[in-house]
Amino acid sequence: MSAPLIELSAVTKKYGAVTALDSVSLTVNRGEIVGIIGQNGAGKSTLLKLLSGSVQADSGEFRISGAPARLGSTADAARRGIAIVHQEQSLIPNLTVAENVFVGRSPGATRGGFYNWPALFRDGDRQLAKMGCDFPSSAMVGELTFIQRQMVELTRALSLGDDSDDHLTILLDEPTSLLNPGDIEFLFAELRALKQRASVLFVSHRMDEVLSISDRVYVMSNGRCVAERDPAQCNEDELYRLMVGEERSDDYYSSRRTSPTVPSATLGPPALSVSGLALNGEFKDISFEIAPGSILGLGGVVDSGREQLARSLFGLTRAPAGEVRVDGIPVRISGPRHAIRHGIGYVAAERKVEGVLLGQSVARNLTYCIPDRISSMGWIRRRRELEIVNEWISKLKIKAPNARADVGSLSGGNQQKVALAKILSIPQLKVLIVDHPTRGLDLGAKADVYEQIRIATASGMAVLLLSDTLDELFGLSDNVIIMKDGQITGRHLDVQSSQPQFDQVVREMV
Amino acid sequence: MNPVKRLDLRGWGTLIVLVALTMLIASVQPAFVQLQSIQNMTLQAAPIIVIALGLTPVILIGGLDLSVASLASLATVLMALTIPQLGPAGLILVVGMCAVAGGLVGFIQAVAQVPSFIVSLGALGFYAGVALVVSNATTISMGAGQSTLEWLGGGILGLPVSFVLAVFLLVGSAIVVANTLVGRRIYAIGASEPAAIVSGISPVAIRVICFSFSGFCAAIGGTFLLARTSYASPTLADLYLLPALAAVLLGGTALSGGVGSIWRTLVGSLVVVVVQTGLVVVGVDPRVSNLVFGALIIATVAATTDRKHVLVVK
Amino acid sequence: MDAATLPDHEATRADIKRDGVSSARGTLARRLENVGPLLILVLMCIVLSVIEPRFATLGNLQTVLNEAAIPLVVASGLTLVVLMGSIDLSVEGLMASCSIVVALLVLNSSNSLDLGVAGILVALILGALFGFANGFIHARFALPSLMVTLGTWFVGLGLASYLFPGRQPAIQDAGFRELALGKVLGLSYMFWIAIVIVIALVLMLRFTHFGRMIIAMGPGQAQLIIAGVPVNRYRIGAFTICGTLAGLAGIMTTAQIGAGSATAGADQLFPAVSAVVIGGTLLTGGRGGILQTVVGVLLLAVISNGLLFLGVNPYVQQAVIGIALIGIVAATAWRARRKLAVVK
Repeated sequence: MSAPLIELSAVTKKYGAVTALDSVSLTVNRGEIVGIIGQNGAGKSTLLKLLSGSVQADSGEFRISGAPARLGSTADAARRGIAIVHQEQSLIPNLTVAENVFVGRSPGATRGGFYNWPALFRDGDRQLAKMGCDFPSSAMVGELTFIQRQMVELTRALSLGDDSDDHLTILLDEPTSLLNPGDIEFLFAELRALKQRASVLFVSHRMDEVLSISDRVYVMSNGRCVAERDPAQCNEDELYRLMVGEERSDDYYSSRRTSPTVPSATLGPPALSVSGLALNGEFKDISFEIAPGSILGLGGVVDSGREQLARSLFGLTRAPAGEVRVDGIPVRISGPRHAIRHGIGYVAAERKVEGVLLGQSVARNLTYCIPDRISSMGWIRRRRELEIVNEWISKLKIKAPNARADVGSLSGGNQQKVALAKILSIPQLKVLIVDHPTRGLDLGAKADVYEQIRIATASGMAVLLLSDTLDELFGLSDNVIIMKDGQITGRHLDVQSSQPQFDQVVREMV
Repeated sequence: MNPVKRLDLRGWGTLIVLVALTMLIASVQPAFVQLQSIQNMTLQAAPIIVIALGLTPVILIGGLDLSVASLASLATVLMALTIPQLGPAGLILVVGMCAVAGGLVGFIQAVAQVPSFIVSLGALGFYAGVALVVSNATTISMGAGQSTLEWLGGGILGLPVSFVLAVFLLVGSAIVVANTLVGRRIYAIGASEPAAIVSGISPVAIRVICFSFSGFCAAIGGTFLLARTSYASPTLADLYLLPALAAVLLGGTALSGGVGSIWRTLVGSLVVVVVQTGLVVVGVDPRVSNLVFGALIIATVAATTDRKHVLVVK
Repeated sequence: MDAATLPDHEATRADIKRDGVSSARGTLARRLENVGPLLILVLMCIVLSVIEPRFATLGNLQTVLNEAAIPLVVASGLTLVVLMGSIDLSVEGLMASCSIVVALLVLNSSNSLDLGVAGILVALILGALFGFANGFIHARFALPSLMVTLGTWFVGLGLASYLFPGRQPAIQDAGFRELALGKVLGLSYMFWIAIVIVIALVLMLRFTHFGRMIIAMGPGQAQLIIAGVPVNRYRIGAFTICGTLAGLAGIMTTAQIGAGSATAGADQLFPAVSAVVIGGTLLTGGRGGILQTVVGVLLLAVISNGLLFLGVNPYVQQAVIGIALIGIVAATAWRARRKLAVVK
C-alpha cells in the first residue's frame, strides 16, 4: 500500500493566542477528490496556506508521498507538485493565456529573452487541450469569461505537473463562488476527468457542492478536523451539527439573559425598517425591522452579502434599490455624512483602516463625528472637547496615557473602544451598525464591548450586529437573520427565550 | 524609530539646519546677516513663502499641485490687464478667480478620483496656455497701475511689506488650521482617508478647500512678483514651483500626507532662500540649489515614508 | 511569514456579479478605445487638408514630422514607465543635464574638448544613470515613483545649472549639428532615429520577455510577485530606458538649437504626458503602448500645425490640451470610482 500523496499528522498552527489549526490530521491519496467543509474561521484558509507553502506548521508532520515536506514558499510547493488555485483571480489580464500558464517559469519557447510565439502558443494549446478547453492559448485573459479563466488557472496548476516529480495535487479555494450552475457542472466534469493525473483538495463552505464532487469529505470546525465521511453514505444533518461543533456558552452573554432590562414592547415606528432592499450583484429582497432598544443579528458566511448590506445602509456602497426608513421616515443615504445626520452610525470591521485614524490623537479620534458639539462656527472649543473626551474615556474605560496620545499606540481593544465611543457620542444616533465588533480582541475587551452595546440598547438604541461566531450572534441578539448568496434564508425571532438548533442555522448559512 | 516619529523630529531638524547654515555663511561672509542682505533675502522669500503656504494643505492631504507657479504667472498677466482699469478691484477679482480655479481643480480631482499630479499637470498646461494667449506671449507693463501695488514695495520695521504680509498670512493660516474643524479634517484625510470618510468627513469638500487655498496663495505670490518687477509676463513665476515644493518638503511635511505643518513650511522657505542666497554669495548659480534639494527630498522620503508591508509600489 | 495576498479583486467580482455576464469587458468597447485616437488623427488630417491646402503639402508634412521627433523620443520612454503604472517626472531635469553635458563635450565655444561621438555616448550614459537611479531607488526602497522622480527632477536641473559654464556653450561640431539639420528624404536624422527607437521599443514589448513583463506589471504586479517573477529588475530596466531616451532628447535639443541649454527640458513634461494619455495609454498601466503614443504625439503636432495655418494663437492649443488631459483621465477613471477609494 503506497504512502498517501499528502499526509498531515497532528498539525497545529497558532497565531498568537488564536489556534488556527488544532492537531489536524488528514490524508489525500492519488487520484482522489477530497472535500473540506467548514464555516468561517474553521481553519480552511490556514490549512490551504500550510499546504501551499505560505505558512509553516508549529508542530506536527506534513508528508508528501511519504517524505517530509518543508515548504517555505509557493514555489517550493510547486516543485513538490502542489498547486493552489486561489479564490481571487491570480491571472494577469493583459497577457495571453499561454503567458499566464507559463508565468514565473522559463517557457521552452523563449531563447535569450526573445519569445518564439508560435512555439509558445503550441505549448499553450497543448496544455489547454489536456483540459479540454475550446479557446486558443493566444487569447487575452482579459477577454475570457470567468469560467474560462478558472480553466486557465487549472491548466496552469496542471502544467506544473510536467515540471515536478511528485504526483500533482491541486488545491481549490472556494472555486465556485462566482460560477453559475452550468459553469459548476462544467468544472466538476473537468475535475473528474483530472483524477488520473492529479488529486484535488476541494475546500468550500458550500456543502451540497462539496458533497457532490468529493470522494471523501472532512469536516472542519474551530481549527479541528472533526470528522471524515463518505459522501455517499453520510447524513447531512449530522454534518451540519459537526460543522457547528460543541458550542461553549460564554458567560458574557448569559448576564443578558438574566438581566431585567429587557425593553418592553415599544410603541411607535421601528428605529430602522428596510423593505425590498437590493444591490445588484450583492443582495436582493432584503426586508427587516429593528425596534428601538433591540439587537438584530445578521449572520452568514463570506459571500452572503451581509457585509455589503450593512455598508449600504451607511452609504459606503452604491445606492441600493428599495426603501429604508429611520424612525418611520424614508431616507436615501448618499454617504457616511448623510447617514450620521440621519442617526445611523457604523463601527467598521477593519479597525485600523476604517475604524480609527492611526497617527491622530485619541481626542481627535473620539470627536470626528460630533463636530458641532466641540466647536462653534468652525472654531474648536478646547474645553468643551476635553470634557466630552474625558467623559467617554471614563465611560468606556479606555486605557490611554492621555487624550493626546496617538491612538495607534493603544491596544486593539482600546482602539475598538475609541471607535465605538466615536459613534456612541453622536447625539442623534438611533441605529448602531456594528460590523464584527470583537474581531481580534481579547476576552476582557470583548466583554467591555458587549457591555457598551447593551447599555446603548437600554437607552433605546437599535443595533444591527454582524458577527463571525454564532456564539456571539445568538448570545447578544434579540432576533437573528441569516443570509446566503445575497438573500435572507432564515429568520429567528426572540432568540433569547428560544434558541434555535445551531445546525439548522448553519444549514441556512451554507 | 518608526518613520512617522522620524518625521516629527524633522520639524526641529530643519530649524537647526536653518540656524546652522545661516551661521556658517555669515562666518564666511559677514555681510550676509546685515540689513541690506536680510532685506534682499526677505524680499526674495515672500513669494516662496506664500506659494509654499498654499501648497502645504494640498500636500498634507497627500496630494500635489504642480500648477501653482503657472497660475501665479497667469495671475500677474491678468492683474496687469485689469488693475490699470479697475484699480484694487482688479486685484481682488483676479485673486478670487484664481481661488475659484483652484477649487475647480480640487473638485475634479476629488470627484473623478484621478491622481492630483495629473490633474494639476493638466491645469498647469491650461494656465500656461491662457497666460500666453492673453498676454500675446510678451511682457505687459503695469504702467499707471503700479501705484496700486506700490505699497507692497515699502517697508515695515525695515522689512519689505510683502514679506511681512506673507508671514502674517502664514501665521494666520497656521492658527486657523490648528484651531478649526477644517484643519482637523485636513490632517484626518491625510492620515487615513478611509477612516476619515467613514467618520463623516467629506473628501470632496476638503479637497476643494485645499486646492482653492493653493490657487489663492498662488495669486498672492504673483502679486508680490508683479509689485517687485512692475511688469507681468506669462512665465514670471514659473521658476517658483520647485523652490516652493522644496520649502514644504524640506520643512518637514510628508509628501504622503498627514504629517507636517504650516509652521514647518515657514522654516523650509527660509532654508531655501538662505541656500539660494548663500550660493550666490559663494559665487554659484542659485539654481544649483536644486541639486541639493532634490537629493535631500529623496533622502527625506526614504527615511520617513511609512512602508507598511505594501506589496506593490508603483 | 504572512502570506502575500493578491490585490482586492472585489471590484472585478462585483462588476461580474452585477452585469450578470461572466466576461470582463466588451471587446467592442476596447477596440474602439484603441483605435479612437488614430481615427481622430486621420479625421483631423483630412479636415485640415480640405480647409487649408497648404497643410497637405510635402514640405509641411515633413516639417510636422521633424518637429515631432524630440517629443516622440521623450514620450516613448515615458510610455514604458506609464505602462507599469508608474510615472517619471524627472524628464525635464534629465534633458537639461544631458544637453549641457553633450554641449561641453563635443566641439564647443566654452572649452577645448572635442569628443564627438564619445561625447554623445557620455551624455547618453548620464541619462541612463539617472534613469537607473530612479528605478533603483524606487524599486529597492519601495518608494512611489512620483516621489523619487520629483527629487531627481530637481537634481537634474541643479546639475545642469552647476555644469553651466557661465555663458551658453555654442556647438561648433558641424557633424553633431547635422543630426538636426541634415535630412534624408526631407526628414531630419533625428526623426529617423526616433523612428528606429519606436520600432525597437514596439518589437521589444512584443517579442521579449522584458517587454512582456513591463506590460504585465500594470495590472498584474502582485500576481507576478506571487508567481516568483523578479519584478524589480524589470522596473529598473524600464526606468533606465526612459532616462536614456530623455537624455537622448536633451542631446537632440542641443543639436537643434545649436547650443547647450539648462532649459533644454523646459515645458517638456506636460506635452509628453499629454501625448501618452491622449494616445490612449492608461496612467494605471496595462493598456496602451508605443504606437498609441506615436498617435498621441502626431495628434498634438498636427493640431499645432493646423492652428498655425488657421491663424489661431498657437498657445490656445496648450490650454485646450490641458483641459483634454484632465478630461481624458477623468473619463477613463470614471468607472473605477468607489466610495472609499484613496486616490491622492
